[in-house]
Amino acid sequence: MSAEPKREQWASRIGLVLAMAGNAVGLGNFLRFPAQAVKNGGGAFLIPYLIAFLVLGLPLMWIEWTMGRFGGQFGHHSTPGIFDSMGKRRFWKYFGVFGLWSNLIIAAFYLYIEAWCMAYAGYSLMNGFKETKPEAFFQSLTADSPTSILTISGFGLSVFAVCIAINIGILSRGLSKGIEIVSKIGMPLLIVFAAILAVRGLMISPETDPNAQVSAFTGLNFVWEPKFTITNDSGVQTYALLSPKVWLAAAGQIFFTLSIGMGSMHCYSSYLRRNDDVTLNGAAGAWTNELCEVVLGGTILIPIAVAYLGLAEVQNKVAGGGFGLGFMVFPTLFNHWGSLAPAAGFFWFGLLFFAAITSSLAMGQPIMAFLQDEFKFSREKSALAFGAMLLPLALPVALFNQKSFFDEFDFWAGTFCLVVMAVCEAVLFSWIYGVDQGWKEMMRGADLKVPRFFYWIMKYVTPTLLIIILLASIFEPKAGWDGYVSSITTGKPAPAWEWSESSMIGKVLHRDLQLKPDAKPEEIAFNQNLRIVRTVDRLTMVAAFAGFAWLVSIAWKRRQLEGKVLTP
Amino acid sequence: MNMIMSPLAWVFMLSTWGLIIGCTIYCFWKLMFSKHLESDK
Repeated sequence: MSAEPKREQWASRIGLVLAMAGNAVGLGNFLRFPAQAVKNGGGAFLIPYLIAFLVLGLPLMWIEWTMGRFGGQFGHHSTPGIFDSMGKRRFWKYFGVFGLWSNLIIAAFYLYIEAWCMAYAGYSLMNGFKETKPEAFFQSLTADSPTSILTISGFGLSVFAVCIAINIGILSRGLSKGIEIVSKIGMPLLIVFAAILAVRGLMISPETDPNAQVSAFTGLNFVWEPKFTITNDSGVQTYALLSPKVWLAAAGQIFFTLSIGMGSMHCYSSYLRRNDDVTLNGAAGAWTNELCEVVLGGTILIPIAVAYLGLAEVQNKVAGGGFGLGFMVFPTLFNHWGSLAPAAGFFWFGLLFFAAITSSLAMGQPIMAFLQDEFKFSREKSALAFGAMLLPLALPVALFNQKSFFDEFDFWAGTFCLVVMAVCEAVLFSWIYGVDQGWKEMMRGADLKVPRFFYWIMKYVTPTLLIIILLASIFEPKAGWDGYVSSITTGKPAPAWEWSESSMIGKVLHRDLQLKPDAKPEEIAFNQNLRIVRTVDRLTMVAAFAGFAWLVSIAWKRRQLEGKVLTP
Repeated sequence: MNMIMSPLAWVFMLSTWGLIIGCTIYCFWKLMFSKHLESDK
C-alpha cells in the first residue's frame, strides 16, 4: 500500500455524522415523503418503506461508507478513483464518472430551488406574504410561463447568483471549517424549526382558530391511517401491500431520501482513517434522516394544509406532489397565525434552505476533491473551478422554461443516473471486490456490530432490488405495473401497452410532449421549440459527461507517467 | 387520546416513531460513548 498523502480531515465525529445526515436530509424529506405516503396507502405505505430502508437503504449506506474509506486509503476522494481501487478492470473508473457528473448536473438545478427557499425565507420574515400571493412571488422569481421558452427574471437570477456564491464561499473554506461548521449549525436549527412548526401545527383546531376547517389531527390521520386497499393506476382496487406500484414508490423514496448513488457519501467517508468506524456512523446518519423525514416531515405539510383547506382540496393538490403545496399554498396558510406568521414562514423556508444547502455542499465536494487529488488544485482554486463548471449549466436552468433544462436535469441526473450508479456500486462491492472482503473491510474498526444477515442482503437482495428498480424505471408502462401483475393472477386481459411519461424510454420519446388534437398554434410552436431546447440540453449533458471522462483519462495517464501506484 | 385519529393510525404512527426515535437515540448514545470518538485528534 502506498504512503497516505497529506489530506483534509473531519474535525470531529459528530461533525462528520451531521454532515452526512445533512447530505441525506433534503427538500424531499419535507415535500416529497408526505405526498408519497398519502398517495400510497398512508400507514400501510410505511411497511414497505421500512422494509426498503432495511434491505436497500442501510446496506447501501454501509457500502458507500466502506467504499469511500477504502478508496481514501489510496489517496482517492472521488468515485473514479474509489471505483478504480476496488475494481479489477480499468473501465470501472469511467463508471465512477457518474459520481462527478451527476453532482454537477444536480447542483445546477438544486441550487436554483435552494435560491427560491432563501428568497421565500427572507420575504416571509418581512411579512411579505400578507400582501403578496405566493404565486405572484414565484412568478417574479422564475418568470415561468406555460408557453414561453425563455423565462428571464432579474430578481431570480440575482438570488440564484447569491446562493451559488454562498455555496462556493463555504466550499472554499474546506471540510472542517466550511461544510462541518454549516452542518453543525444547520442541522440542529433545521430540527428545531421543524419541531416548532410541527407542535404549533398540531395545535390548529376549529375551536381555537376560526380559519381552520378541521383539526390538524385530521391531516395526521390522513397520513397515518393505513389504507390496505388502494386504487391503482388502472382504476382497479388492489391490496396496497401486493401492489408493485406501492413497493416501487417505497423503494424509490428510500433510495432518493438517503442521497444514495451520488458519490457524495463516498467522498465524505474517504476522509476517514483506515480504522475509523463506518457502521455506526452510517447508521446514525441514516436514522437521523428518517427522523427528519417520517417524524418531522410527516407532521408539518399535510396536517397544517388539511386543517385550513380541508381533506378534499389537499388530496387534489397532493396528487401532483408536495412541491406546490409547500411553495404556493403554505405561505398563505401561515397568515392565519397572526403575529407569528413571519416567523412561521421564515422557519418553514429556513428549514428547507438548511436542508437544501447541507445537500448542495455535498454535491460540490466530490468535484473539488477530484481536482485536488488529480490536478493538485488548491482548495480555493478547486471551489472556483467548480463554480466555473456550474455556471454554464446553472444559467440555462434559470433562463429557460422549467420543462426544459430543469426537468431534464432532474430526470437524467437526479433520478435515472442515481439508480444506474447504485447498481454499479452494489455489483462492484458485492460481486467484483467480493462481499467476503467487503464485509471484512466494513467491520474493521466497527463500533456497531452489523447482524450477519446483512451479509446475505448485500450479496443478493440489494443488487437484485436495484436492478428491478432500474428495469422498472426504464420500461414503466403508462397504466402502471399493477394491471399487468393482476392480469397474470386473475387471468383478465392486460392493459394496452403505452410508455409512461416518467419512464426512461418515455422521456427519450418526449411522451410528455404529446399534443392534443385541438392544440392551439402557440402550443404547437412551444412544443416544437421545447423539443429543440431539450435536444440541446441532452447534448450538453453528454458533453459534460465526456468532459469528465476525458479528465479522468488524462489524470490516469499522468499517474502512469509519474509512476504512482495508488491501486492495491 | 385524541379521537380524531383512528386507533389504527395511532398504532402505526407511534410504533414507527418509536422505532425511528429509539434507533436514532441509540446510535447517538453509542457515538457519544464510543472508543473511536474523536479518534483523529
